[in-house]
Amino acid sequence: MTATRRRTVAFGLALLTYVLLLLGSLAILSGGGVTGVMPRALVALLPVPAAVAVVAVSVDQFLANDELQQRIQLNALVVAFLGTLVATFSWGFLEGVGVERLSGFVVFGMLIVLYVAGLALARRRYR
Amino acid sequence: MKNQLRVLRAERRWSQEDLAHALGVSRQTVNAIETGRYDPSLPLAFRIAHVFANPIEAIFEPEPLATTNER
Repeated sequence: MTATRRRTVAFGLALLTYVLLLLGSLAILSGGGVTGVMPRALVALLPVPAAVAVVAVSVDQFLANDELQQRIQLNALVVAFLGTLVATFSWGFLEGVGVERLSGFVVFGMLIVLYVAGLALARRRYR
Repeated sequence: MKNQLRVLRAERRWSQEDLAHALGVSRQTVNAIETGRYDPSLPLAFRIAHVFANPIEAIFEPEPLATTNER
């Protein structure tokens, strides 16, 4: 198995584990079998180790990329970071006039979308 | 930066994939260097020179520097 394929498999397994743990924790919490703040908090945090594994595999993949691929990834991250920064700041101003608060999950989703867009733009630049 | 990568590669009948494998980079990187859209780092430029057994100056031609009057 090549190193690239090994990383892809590792990423897939980490992501699958995250999804399963997330669904499991949601099922446990909605089932009502766990009571008390601390136990419920521990169940809610079950997916976090798998999320850390996803991050670790992603960092490993980034470091294994060649210099141009790393530059493209960094370009995409800059677009995602600055775009999300502007969007969330703007939403913050709207919250000042009574608009509903922005969920962290929405911010994360925005980050992903802008990252993908930034990746497409950066790849096109070096094609 | 202009370069002779495509010419040197063609002389050896290498594909971009072959050269990418020899340099330890992706085919996209080789293509970006050949089309002048990306200038390689110094370590990569030295690896390219080593693979083609040519000095760096024979492979890469820097853009002319602007003179004092032009600035």
